[in-house]
Formats: sequence, C-alpha cells, structure tokens
Amino acid sequence: MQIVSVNDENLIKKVVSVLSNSGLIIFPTETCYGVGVDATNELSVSKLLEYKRRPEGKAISVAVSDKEMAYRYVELNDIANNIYNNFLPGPVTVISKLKLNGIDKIAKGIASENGNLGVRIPNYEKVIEIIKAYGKPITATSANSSGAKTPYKISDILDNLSDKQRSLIDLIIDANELPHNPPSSVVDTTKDEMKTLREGSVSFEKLILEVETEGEIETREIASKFIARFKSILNTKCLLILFNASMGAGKTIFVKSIAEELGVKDIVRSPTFNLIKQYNLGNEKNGKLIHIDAWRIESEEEFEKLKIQEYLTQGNIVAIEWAGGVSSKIREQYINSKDNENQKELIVVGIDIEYLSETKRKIVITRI
Amino acid sequence: MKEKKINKNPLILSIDTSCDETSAAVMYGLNVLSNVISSQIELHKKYGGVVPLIAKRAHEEQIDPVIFEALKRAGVLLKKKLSFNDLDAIAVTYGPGLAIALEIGVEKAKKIATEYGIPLIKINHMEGHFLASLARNSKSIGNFTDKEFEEINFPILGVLLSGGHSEFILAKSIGEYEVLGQTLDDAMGEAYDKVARILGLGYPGGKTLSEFAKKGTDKFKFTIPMRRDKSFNMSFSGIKTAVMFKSKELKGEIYQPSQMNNPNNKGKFDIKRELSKQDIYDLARSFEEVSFGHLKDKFDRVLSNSNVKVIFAGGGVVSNSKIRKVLRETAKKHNSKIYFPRDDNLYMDNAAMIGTVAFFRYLKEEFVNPKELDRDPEAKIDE
Repeated sequence: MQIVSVNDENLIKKVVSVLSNSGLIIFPTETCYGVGVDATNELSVSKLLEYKRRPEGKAISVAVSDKEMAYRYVELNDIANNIYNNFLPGPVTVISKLKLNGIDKIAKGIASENGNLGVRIPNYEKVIEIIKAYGKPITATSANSSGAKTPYKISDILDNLSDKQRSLIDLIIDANELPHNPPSSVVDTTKDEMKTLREGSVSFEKLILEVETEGEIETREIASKFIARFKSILNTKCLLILFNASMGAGKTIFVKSIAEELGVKDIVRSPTFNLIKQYNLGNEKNGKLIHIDAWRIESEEEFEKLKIQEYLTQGNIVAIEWAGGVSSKIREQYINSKDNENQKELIVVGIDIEYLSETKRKIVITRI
Repeated sequence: MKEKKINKNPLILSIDTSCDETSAAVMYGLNVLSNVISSQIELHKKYGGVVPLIAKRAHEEQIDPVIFEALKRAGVLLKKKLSFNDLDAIAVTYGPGLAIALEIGVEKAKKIATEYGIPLIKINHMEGHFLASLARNSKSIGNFTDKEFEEINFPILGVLLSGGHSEFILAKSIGEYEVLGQTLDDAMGEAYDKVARILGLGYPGGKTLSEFAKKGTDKFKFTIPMRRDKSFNMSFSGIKTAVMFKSKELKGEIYQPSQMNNPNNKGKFDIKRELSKQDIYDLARSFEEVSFGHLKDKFDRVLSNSNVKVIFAGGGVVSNSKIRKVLRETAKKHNSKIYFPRDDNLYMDNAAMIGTVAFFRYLKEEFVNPKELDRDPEAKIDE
C-alpha cells in the first residue's frame, strides 16, 4: 500500500497504473473518501466487494469524468439529462438504466439486478482528471466498510479496517481531512417521475433546478426546459408558479418563454398595470396561462379580491410575479389549507431569480 | 326597449371600470357633459361617510356614486334633473382590462339597460383611447366640427400610449382596426412608473420623474433598443433595466464575486452611497431621452411605411407635453396632422372616451343584448 499526496506531481500516472493492474485506490471527493477500482474489470470489482464486505447483488455506484462517458454505459432520459446539465459535477448520484446494446460494459456485480446503475461526477478536479486519463469509470462507493462511519480522513478508514481489508488497498490519495459534507444525494431517474432515494446536500424533493445563466437567451432556455418537464401535469393539475425576483431580473422573459413553449400565440406583455393577463394555451384542455403581477397589490385584502382561486383549475398555469408580499396568503389559502379541494389539484413551484451581475442570473426552482 | 327612434344627438351614459379607475360620463352627441373619474373626487366626503373606506379599485363601492355624480353634473348643464329614463343609450367598456374590475361596470350597465329598457352598447377600451380626440367640450368645441370630421380621409393612425398599453393602430374606418405594432413587454407609462420607483420617487411616480428630467442632462446616453428591428413593435423593459443598473453602478452596489461561496451571502450589494439629486435628474433625463428616441424611431418607421396623413394620439402618457412634442415633430416630418384629446381627463382612463365611441355605435344602432354581454379581459380591438 502506498500513500500519495493529492498534490503529488505524478499522481495521475501512479493512479492510472494501479487501476490498470486491477488495483484498489482510496480517493477524495467533495463528499467523503471513496474506494475506487476499474468498474469494467471483474477481477477489480470482486476485490472491491471483498474490501467492502458487501454481499453481491447490492449495487455500487460509479464515477465518470463527464456526461459523455456516462452515456457510453447508461441511457440518459430528459430527467437525467437535466440533472447532468445542471448539477454535475456535484454531490448527486444519478440512477439510470444500463444500455442494453452498448459496446462498453460495466463489470458484473456493479449494477443492480434490474439493470440500473448509479453514476456520478465528483466535483473534485483531480478525480475527474484521473478518470479522464484512465478512460473508464471507477467505482465511487464510500471507503468505509459497509455500515461504518462516513470517512472524512484516512485514519477514519484505516482504524476501522481489518488487516485483511487493509491489505487490499494498493494506493491512497491523501487530501488530509475533507470538509464534513453529507454523502451524495441519490436520485432514481428510471421512472417517469424522479425519485430521491437518499437526500444529500442537494435536495431533490424540493429543489427542481438551480442554475446560473448568462444572458437572456440562457434564461429563456431554462424556462423552456422547466416547462417542458411540467407540461404533462397540466393534463390533471394546475401549475402555480410563484416568482421571487427583483425588478429587471427577467420574470416576464421567463413567462414569455413558458408561453412560447406552450403554444401561446399572443404577445405576452407585462401584467403590471392590468394586474392579471390571460392567454389561451391552445391545448385540448382549453387551458390558460394566467399571468399575475402582485406588485401593485397593497394589501392581502386587495389580493383576495382578485379571486385567483377561480383560475386555479386543471389545465391552467398561474404565474404570479412579486408573489413575496402575498405569499403568506397564498400559502395559507391554497397550499397549507386542509379542506381545500384545490390543493390536491395544485402543483406549486417557486422560482427565485437573483442578480449576479448585469447579465448573470441565478435561477432556483423549488417545489413548494 | 324604448321606441326605435334614433336621435341625432343622443344622450348616452358611459361607464369604464377597466382597471384602477371607476368612471362614468354623460355625452350629448360628441359633447362631454360630465366625465367623473373616481380618483379625482372625494366620494366618501361627498356622500357623508356612506362609504367609509374607498380603496383603490373598489369599483363596487364607487360605481353608484360615480354614476350619480355624472348624471348630476350633466343635469346642471342641461338645467334639468337627469334620470336613467332620459338616456338614449348606455355604453360600457367590456375589455381589455382586469376581469373583476370590468365586471362591475358591465353588470351595472346591463342592470340599468334591462331595468329602464335602454339600448346597451359595448365598447373596447382601446378604441376609446383612439377616438378620444373626437370628444368635444360641453359647448361643442373640439378638434373637428361635424363638417371637418366628414372631410377626414381614412385611414387614421392611432398612437396609444398609457400605463397598460403602447400601440400603433390603424383605423380603416371607425370600428375597423388593425394593430400595426405594440410593446413586447412593458408599456411606456409603466416604464415611467417603474423607473420612478427605481429612483426612489414612489409609485406611481411617472409625472414626478418627468418633472425631474427637466433639471437633468442626457448624461448616460442609454442605447435605443430595437433600432434594427423592422417591425413596428416597441420594448421599454430593457430601458428600465439599463436605468436600474446605471443607478446601481452610481450607488456602488457592485456584486462581490469573492463572496459567492459564502452561504450567508444572498447576492446583496454593498451600498456605498445614495443617489444625489443631480444623479436622479440625470437618470430621469437620460431615461426620457432614450424612451423618446425609441418612440420616435418606431413612430417614424410606421409613418414611413404607410400613407397616413391623420394621426390621433391618446392614453395617459400622451398628457406629457414633452411626448406630445416628440409625436408632433415626427408627424410634421411626414406632413401628417396629429390630434390630441382636448382635455386632460380624456387622456387617462375615463368614460367620456367610451361615450365618444358609443356615439358612432349608436348611430349605426349597434346594440347588444344585455343577457349576452360579458366582460373580456383580453378583448382585442382588431377582432
């Protein structure tokens, strides 16, 4: 077993050589230390299973250097693509279906029995470089043996291993003590709706998308992508969008793009003066886009008079700008209310747009 | 319904509750006998506390007092006490506007029409702004005499600029319209009010902004938008954003990238200083200059591409004399004659402009069945 510093000049060469020889490495990530072997090599994988003392049949996730590498092994649907584009590299493991006829194969014992594989791109530059240089995925399970505590420093690992296990380690990349970040979130994208299997620092139950955009065109793209994903719920539900963003952040542009994506033919203009503007979506359900600007609303009483509940029906999208001032009322009446029939029919999404600079925006979309 | 005798100079009660204002007017032909606008009268004082709190857009509380005030004022001029029975028709704005506001006026008009058997006329709010230049005062003084009006050659171009709209509309005849261009985002009046708020002048502060602009210079020379765009559409949202960033820059509110990774930092800017009076004057002036430039560009483009010789301007923004000057100069360049409403109240949202359009509908007997009339928040002038 050799221990090399993460700053070692020949790090990549040394690690690649170990991996090529069916070796086992301990490596740092943005979450904790992981244990890596060539995920395509059965001999390596059996060594890993022995190290983890993990029965065969329990899936092990892998780390890749980029989306392209992932795509060699797994199918990426829209949901998965969305996460790859917006959250990776980062602490998120995305479960996808293995490619049935792919040229490149993952070794036995890695994927789940039903052919699903967890993939992640660690947000750790050196690791990405290593995988890129190696050209194949490596396993990315945490370096503790099954059930033991999350390893943030080398001693966490070594102190809890048996001599046998320790002897299986060929190389340790030492990056001292890592920040104590929670393990990665694990999301299953193989079903129609995304499911969070383990919640890490990125919460998918709530967080739909978090992204920085540069320029109006990118904001438009995000809006289109967002609504493309939610389009189908309009068949059975009403989508209520609450904007929280300052003036000039691009709320109207966001709504314009949603409208375009949904086939609205009219020009979507600012609803500031009129308070409410509505547009036909041109779908079978006769749905409408209701665009509301609460900026000029001075009191909750006044807001109540707008009778927005009448718009909260199946097939409609209701987008409220400047929802901040009236959001407590909205929550009370439409979201938290127990006896409200509407509630079941309602999907509520918050969109926060924050300035980073004149052209840069940070867009955070959450389920409320 | 009354006997079908069409009066050449009908007495028409008109109502407009399209958004913020509750308004009622009485017209005698094209002569405005009264034009009552809720924000301009202190109803709660006049009606002895019957209405304890008159909030903005409390149309249901204001509609009756406003109608009675309109009838009363018209009655003073006619030297008789007017009642609904004296009316030849009742006209109401059915859209575009805010649904809950429109329906107050529409329901009231339907009720009066049904109860008193008066013909009902529905009017598009934008057509009201368009034809406001045809309204005359109670002594029948206006932009045109009957004879002069008959000699006008259509098409007429409408330049309608308000808090909710900014549109170029072509009238092939009265009642037959085509929208040539419109704002793609904020209306011009809205941009004024929003910039006023950015500069800390309160809301709505468009008028204050325009006053302040007189003391400033076009120091910041903002870029005129859509110069290469060949359509007749406008856009004021980007201008507003440009002013906002300039004001942030002046205040030293610059985002610090070094704080990006600090979870407590929500992207706030460090305020270094407040805007000086002169900054505000200069920003206001620079905003007006770029807005005027944009309006001029697009108006010029419309006139260059059409054979219009008569223009009617309308809407609250046009009550700004600087904007009238911009429009007048551009029209002059194209040898076109431009007309403006004759009274300040005819620029803003008001019922007399609705009564003006109603006069023409009345002569053509274009009445609607009260049972069939409904408000249409997205009513279009060209449909």
